[in-house]
Amino acid sequence: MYRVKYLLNLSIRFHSTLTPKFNPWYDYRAYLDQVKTYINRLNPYIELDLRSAALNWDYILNNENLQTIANNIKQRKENESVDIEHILTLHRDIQNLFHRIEDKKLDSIQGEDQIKLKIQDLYNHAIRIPNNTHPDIPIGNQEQARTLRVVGKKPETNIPRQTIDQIGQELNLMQLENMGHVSFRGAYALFGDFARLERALMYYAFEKLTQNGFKMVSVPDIIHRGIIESCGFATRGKRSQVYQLDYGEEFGRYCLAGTAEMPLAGLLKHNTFRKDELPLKLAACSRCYRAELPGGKGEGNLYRVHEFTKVEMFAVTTNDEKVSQEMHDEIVRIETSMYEDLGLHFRILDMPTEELGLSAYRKYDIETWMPAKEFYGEISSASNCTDFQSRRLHIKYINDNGDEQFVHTLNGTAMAIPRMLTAIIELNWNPETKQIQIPKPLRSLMGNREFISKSSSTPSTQWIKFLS
Amino acid sequence: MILIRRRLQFFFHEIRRTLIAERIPQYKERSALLPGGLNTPFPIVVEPDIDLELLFKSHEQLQENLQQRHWIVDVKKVEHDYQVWKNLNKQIAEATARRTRPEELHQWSEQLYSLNAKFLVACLRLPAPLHGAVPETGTRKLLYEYGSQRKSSLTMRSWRDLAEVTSLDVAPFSSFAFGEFAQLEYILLNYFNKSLDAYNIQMCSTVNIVKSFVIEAFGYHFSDIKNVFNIVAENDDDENNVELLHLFGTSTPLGIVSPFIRTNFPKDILPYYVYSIGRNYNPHSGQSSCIELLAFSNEHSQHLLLDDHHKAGDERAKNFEDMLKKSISSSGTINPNEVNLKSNSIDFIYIQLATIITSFYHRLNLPLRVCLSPTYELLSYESLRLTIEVYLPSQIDYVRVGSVSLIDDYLARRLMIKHNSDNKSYVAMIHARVADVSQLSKCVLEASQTIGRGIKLPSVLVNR
Repeated sequence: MYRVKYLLNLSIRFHSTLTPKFNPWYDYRAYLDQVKTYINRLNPYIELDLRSAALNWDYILNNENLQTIANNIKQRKENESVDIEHILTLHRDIQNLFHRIEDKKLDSIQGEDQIKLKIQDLYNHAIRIPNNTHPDIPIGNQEQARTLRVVGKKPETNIPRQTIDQIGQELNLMQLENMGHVSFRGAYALFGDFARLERALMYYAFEKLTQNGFKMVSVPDIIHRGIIESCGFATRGKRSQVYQLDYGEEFGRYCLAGTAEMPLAGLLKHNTFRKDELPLKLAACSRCYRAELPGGKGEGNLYRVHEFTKVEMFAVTTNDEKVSQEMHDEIVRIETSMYEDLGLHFRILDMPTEELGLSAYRKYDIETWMPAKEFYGEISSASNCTDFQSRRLHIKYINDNGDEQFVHTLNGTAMAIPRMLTAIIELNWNPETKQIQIPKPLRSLMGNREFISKSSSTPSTQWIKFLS
Repeated sequence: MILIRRRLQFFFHEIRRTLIAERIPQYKERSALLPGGLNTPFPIVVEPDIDLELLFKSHEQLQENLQQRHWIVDVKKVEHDYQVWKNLNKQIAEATARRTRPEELHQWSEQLYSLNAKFLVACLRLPAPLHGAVPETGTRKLLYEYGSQRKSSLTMRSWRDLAEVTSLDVAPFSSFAFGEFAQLEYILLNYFNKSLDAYNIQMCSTVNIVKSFVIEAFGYHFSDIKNVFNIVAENDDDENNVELLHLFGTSTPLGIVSPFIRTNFPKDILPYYVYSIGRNYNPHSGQSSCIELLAFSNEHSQHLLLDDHHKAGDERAKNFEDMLKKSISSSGTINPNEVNLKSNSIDFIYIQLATIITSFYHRLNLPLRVCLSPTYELLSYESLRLTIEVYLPSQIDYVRVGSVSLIDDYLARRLMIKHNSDNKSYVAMIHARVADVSQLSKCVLEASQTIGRGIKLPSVLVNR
């Protein structure tokens, strides 16, 4: 039908002496190119050299994909607010405006202003559309997570075990009480061997990652909000976990990174790789800041904290789904090997749709057994973001035909320190000897010692209870 | 047209700024350390205690201190307020004893309340007294120099060429470092970590973010959005309930002191030494990795210029300086087992720490110099500062990599850090930046380059 109309149109043009009229319905390709040009001209972050996201407009604005996109949004509970029908309505409005300008029913200057506003609106809505979902992953909430593998043996649950803060207080190596008066609620300080164990875990992760071909990067913790948003995290609004800085000219222009994935992705913005440069494997250790909601008593005091140290993996592959899936598996293999060597009991889960963030196409979580609170707690998460982040940050590669394609990006937690500390300390604590056995791989990083025991060098300072 | 647009931008920016300031009630307050009024958004966490009598004991010393630091303060006005404040307190005490009419008492109390808000806050912001060894001249005093400066040459490359470092607009406060240069940072951190462990100094890992009263004790202002990274944490349930926090880093004196605020040290634990490894955030110098050390003692410095009897450059201060010089000069041959860290004399601890830290740089075999900073370089909480600088050939100058600062009881009085369970026993403190690893790695990289054979790190860094 379209072709017939097009031919008819051509014939009219052929005989007509007037310049051919642009019709957004008939000349859909030309119209879409115009829309893309308008979108490219949008400048989402004035002070940041980052062009507007190159979303897959052909796919998003195609009526045939309406149901698929709508279903995907519905399955991912977090993004219910995005309405694909509204996006398509805006798209039709824009088409109408183009048409009315061509038909001289609308003043061209006035019409262009209206188009610009509609396109801005369309862009703002489309940017919130989540990534596609891998067809094999379970649909639903956390309960539906599919266990892929269980490693190690679950410790006996009938023995009451002490929590990390009880052990920390007993050994005089941790301060939790009253730290909320000087910093965030739930802040903590580690002393002596607990602080050393924290660093040992970090160095252990570095060693493992460099052995596996990851390149170390030292990253900034304060980054522009544009990068955080391009990675699929909201910086504003009630559900945001991002801390905004009130520094300098604009409130919230710079934010604190919640994970090293953000600065690493930002580092690669507007980069085009040769195919032989991929896969690119980067690793970074950063201080992560998150406006987390306080956890329940069942999770322990070091489970949801506002600031913590984390070692993160970040990988870039070609846009071949098989290749990025292989990299995803490799990230999980490295994580598994590290945690297995540390003697932890854990399970690997294929996370269901409602647990995926905006950017993830597929996500594997690793949950370890937290002996004192007796639950499986997430210690690691590995996501394949396909081209979600690369389209927003313009990270490309040149394929064999010489064409530029968007890369696939992946990320995974190598070591989330406070949760790892909790699991290791609670698991290896011997209440009779009052000692913690240091896992073998960490001993060389802890002065070749086998145990952590009570320290006399930490002063048992007392909080001054009453003010005059 | 451009001018109009700029004006408009400025105008909208001002409106936005006002709206934000309106939403953050903390910005309207005078002090977080000494909050006033019933509806203050700042909770009272500590009770600062300044020895006003000692502060105003010598007009000359106070005036001299402020002048040398290049501070503009109307000392006469502050002293006048002090007299009024003293008289009011006296009158109230007498009136209470005499059981005067409540109206009269109430009137005086109100006067005192408003004076407290201004005068006491002003006193809290006055700088620490100077140490006798602070150079009298406006320039640095060189105490010690080691190694020959390697001049820049055709075969020498700058750290920018040797290291993989990128600066991007996504993070204007810090650059990205890759591969071996990023690893070098961790190698150096590990080196200092092990070196400090040899002295049995305790390691600690603490917070990067602190509340407003903490930064105020250090002389920063919580609404100074150009010099401090402020974080506005909004409460999910109540939009009007916002918390103001500040990002400084665990490797700053603010981060490392935080577990000891409003605490009492047990009797026998002092002197106590603690260090931390981590981030340091500063809007001007950016993000860096540092190692910070804090020493606590129950003995105060003997060389602070508190009254007219003490004079800069007097015999005792001269002795202290000579001892410091001599000790640092011998830092190349120091043996950790022979170092005395048990003494409670804060002046002695200062000399020992300066020597120990200099010895770490000696082992790296880098050209270094140790200087005493002039007064105008001191921060408000510092009484004396010694800086350790390492030569950076590409810059044809020395860069500051470490420092040792005498704080005495300046912070302890503001942040309630006591000992002996005694109401007035405040600890004396020394803060040392053992290493600014981000700066030092540049120096190590340039000094370790070889012609055509890559980087050859000093032997102490090779063995992990």
